[in-house]
Amino acid sequence: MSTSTPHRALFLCLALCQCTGSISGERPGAGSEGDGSSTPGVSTGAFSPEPGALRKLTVAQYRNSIHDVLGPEIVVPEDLEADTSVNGYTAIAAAQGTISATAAEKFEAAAYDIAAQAMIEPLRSRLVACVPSATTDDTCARQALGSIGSRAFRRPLTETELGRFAGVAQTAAGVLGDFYQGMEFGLAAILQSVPFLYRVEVGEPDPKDSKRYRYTASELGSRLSYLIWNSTPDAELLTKVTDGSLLDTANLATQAKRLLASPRAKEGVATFHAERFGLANLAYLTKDANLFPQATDSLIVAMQQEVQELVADLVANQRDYRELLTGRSTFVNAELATLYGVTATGAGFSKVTFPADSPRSGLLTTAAFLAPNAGVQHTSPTRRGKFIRETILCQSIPLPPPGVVTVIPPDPTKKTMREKLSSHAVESSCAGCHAAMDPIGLAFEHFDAIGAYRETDDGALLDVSGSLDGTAFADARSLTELIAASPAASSCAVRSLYRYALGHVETPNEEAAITELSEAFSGAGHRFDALIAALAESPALRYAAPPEE
Amino acid sequence: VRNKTFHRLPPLSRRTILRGTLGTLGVAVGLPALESMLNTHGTAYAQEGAFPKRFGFFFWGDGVRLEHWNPATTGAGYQLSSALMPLANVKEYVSVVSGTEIRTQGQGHHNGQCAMATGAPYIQQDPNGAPYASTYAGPSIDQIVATSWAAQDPRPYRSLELGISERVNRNEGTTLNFFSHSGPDSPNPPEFDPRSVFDRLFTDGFVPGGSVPQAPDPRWALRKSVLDAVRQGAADLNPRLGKNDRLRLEQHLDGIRSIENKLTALENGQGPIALGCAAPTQPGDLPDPDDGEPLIERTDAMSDLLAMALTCDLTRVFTIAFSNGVSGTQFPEIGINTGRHGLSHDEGDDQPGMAASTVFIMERLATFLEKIKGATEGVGNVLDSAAILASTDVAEGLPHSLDDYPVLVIGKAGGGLVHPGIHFRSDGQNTTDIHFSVLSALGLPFTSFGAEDGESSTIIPALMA
Repeated sequence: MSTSTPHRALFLCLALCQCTGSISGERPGAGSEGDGSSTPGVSTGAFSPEPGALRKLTVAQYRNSIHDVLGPEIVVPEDLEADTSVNGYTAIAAAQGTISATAAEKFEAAAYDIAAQAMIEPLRSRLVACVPSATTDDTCARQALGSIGSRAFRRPLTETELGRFAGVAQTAAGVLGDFYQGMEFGLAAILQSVPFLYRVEVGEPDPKDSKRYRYTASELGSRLSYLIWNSTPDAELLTKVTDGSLLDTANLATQAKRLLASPRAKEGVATFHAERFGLANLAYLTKDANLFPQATDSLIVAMQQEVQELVADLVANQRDYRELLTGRSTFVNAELATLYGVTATGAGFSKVTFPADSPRSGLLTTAAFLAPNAGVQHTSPTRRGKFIRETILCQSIPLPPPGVVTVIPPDPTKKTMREKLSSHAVESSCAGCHAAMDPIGLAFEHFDAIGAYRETDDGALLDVSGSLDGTAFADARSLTELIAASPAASSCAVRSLYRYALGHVETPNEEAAITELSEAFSGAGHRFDALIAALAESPALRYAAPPEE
Repeated sequence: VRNKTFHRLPPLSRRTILRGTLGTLGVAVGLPALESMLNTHGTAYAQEGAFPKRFGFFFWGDGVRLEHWNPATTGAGYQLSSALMPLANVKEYVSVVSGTEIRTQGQGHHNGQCAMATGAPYIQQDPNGAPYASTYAGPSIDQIVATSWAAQDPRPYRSLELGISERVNRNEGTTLNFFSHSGPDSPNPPEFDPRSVFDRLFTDGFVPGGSVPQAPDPRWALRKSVLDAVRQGAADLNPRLGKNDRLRLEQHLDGIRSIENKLTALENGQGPIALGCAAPTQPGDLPDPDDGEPLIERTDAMSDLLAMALTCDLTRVFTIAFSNGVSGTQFPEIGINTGRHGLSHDEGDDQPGMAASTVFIMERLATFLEKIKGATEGVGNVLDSAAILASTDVAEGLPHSLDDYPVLVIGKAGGGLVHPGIHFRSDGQNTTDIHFSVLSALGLPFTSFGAEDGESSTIIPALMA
């Protein structure tokens, strides 16, 4: 009756056995052309855009937008449906997924909660500048709702829309006998409307070229603003939307630079990196509490913040983005300092520089990488290697064949992970893919399952040398130097930003845009702000394919 | 009759998402033939049809220890196994189905979860750094039932999704993150906070049983006018949208319709409300233990709320995701400080921790079942009119086996399901035969469930009343 005995013969594959020899396609060591990071089936042709989409506001975007449209004093209800993620990105889920019935209910409740707050003084007078002449004052209602609505919809309301919202407000004012209570219903209608809850980015025929589809001025304003600020366009950007001047590439670039120069750009940069590196998943990190009592909730929060501080410091000071992988400084609080064996100064987070002989450098020696890409008790060089291949280098590793049991049988004679994983190299069906993952993952064996340094594993000394696609490295630090210097790592950053900004995984027809952006990125000394500015001017941001029938 | 259900879609293209897969397309609809099948057993169905039928799914991640799970004897009067011992007080309502197999192909956890929820292969996605990623290819069975019932007799809430352990896997696509889905990449995320469930169900216009009908709140009609404006705005936008976005918007508008139905029900006074229907005590804050989650307290609170929601007929469809596949749920209450998925891989010998955590999960299921058994309805209780499936994403965690699948079929389904419960030992038939049997027992007019290798149009006669 029981089937609990695993098939030991299958044990030896720690999955990923479809590779033969080296990883297929533009893979490490597979050739010198290109940057080695493209997906198979690359088009070498001109850029051809994909259709746009309705992009549901994320919870953070909803909250930010409410604050920007109505006022920072609004307390946005916590009880909104949580974001989901597709292909690793909330930004992609938001462009593909739907709003569930429960979410619609929560948006309704939130809309009334927020609308009621908006009609409390002194905010009310800011939002309703006119003084109503009677319980139902159509002119005043239209004036206020038109102003709020155009901020909320990121474009001027149509006459139909304005009439509709004013009508709702008027009816409610009549029934309830109060102008402002009526306004609450008008406001609640705006806040539940599709053009508020979604960024409508679907495009229109280009009047200058009937064969082409372009994003409208208001859509461009949204794309720019949510990309850089993770929020709704401000008044100046909306002016450029309303007069249509944002359609001019030079104006678009100017606005992008203005948004980037604002302190608010920090949030956009942070949101992208949180998504790219899966920082939100850290909240659910599971470690063996007996082995790692220090893996507390507050340590996990600190792990996330360390990466955000690193990124913010790099971008704000316009340094070479590749330092993210090689920098010898980081940001720690007391808890993280203990984990890393360094000394924090002052309360909260402070910048520390690692001693010259420290094994740590950059993102790949942070706990935010080391801990989640490990098991609950042991490290997982395979997972660490896989993360580097996929998230840092944008190379996809084939999936394990069905029926493979991914458990390494206990063998007391094997102490280190290098010994335990050696079966991968022996088992021919496993060797191909694992050769891409295990050797680079083993470079980090001096860091245990939560990212603390260790000299030995189970009493055995560690060999952390290896080679990355034919180039030897001595340890994790020299590996991170190799990775950072590779064009694949730079163009992977571009590719990731592209997915995030556009809300979909690129198709081969879009490769030309990514190539162009990668060139712009390296041409600008790998400055992240320069990359975003280049993206703002890219045809990828400005042109769409017509909606699919 | 539309016989072929949804098709497996090629991976990685966002174009594939949603196309023709939302809504009720997950099952073939038609043929009243089922009625006659039912009626060969089911005169009781007609007689007991006075109370509304309910459907639920209790799901947990990472399997069981089969040697402690499968009862030693079959048929009625079977002996509860050690894993199932917590269900002793509700045993008459519990049938154990063993020996079936999941026939869809794919990665163990993803395949098992999708097969149990949808009966169909999943859509594989670019994992982007995660070990694997997928989403469901169509709606989960709870949404199939909810859509069908909402069309006939809409309730204030078309379905409720509740979660117990928050330590679910969030980076392998929506499959392992959420049990209930309306379609690909369209999960219905569960509520984890009992206060939030209470606020939704028992504050907005809630009318307890036996209360004097009140004049409708004028705000209900105004809220409907707001929703009407939202709907008109969506219609304005529709011509600019591609097919995908039109489908997505349609899904959103279904949610709007659901709110309208609730408001209409409020205005109409909801019809007869069971005398036992009363607002439960407002839940307080759950404890926040340092070394785990308030699994027991959350299950207790959610069970109280759900039992009352069913008594009050606020909804007829629910899912309780104790956890999902590849969960990190720990059980410090019984000395297990390793996430359950990790445990299934790492625990040696006979995996006593996997066995003990299975018992713990069955205790939670028992809590819930005992509470709804306590919800009287006529001469019986809510379990008499409910059909509840309980299962997991792999049979055994360590080998990720998909045969000898552990499934419980709970409740009488208004006379559609066998009572008292039995242990039915199958000789390797399709697991989705169980789903199809339950849909049939509920009198739903579907001609098949699932797709491709998971498709079933076979009833298990032993399960039917």
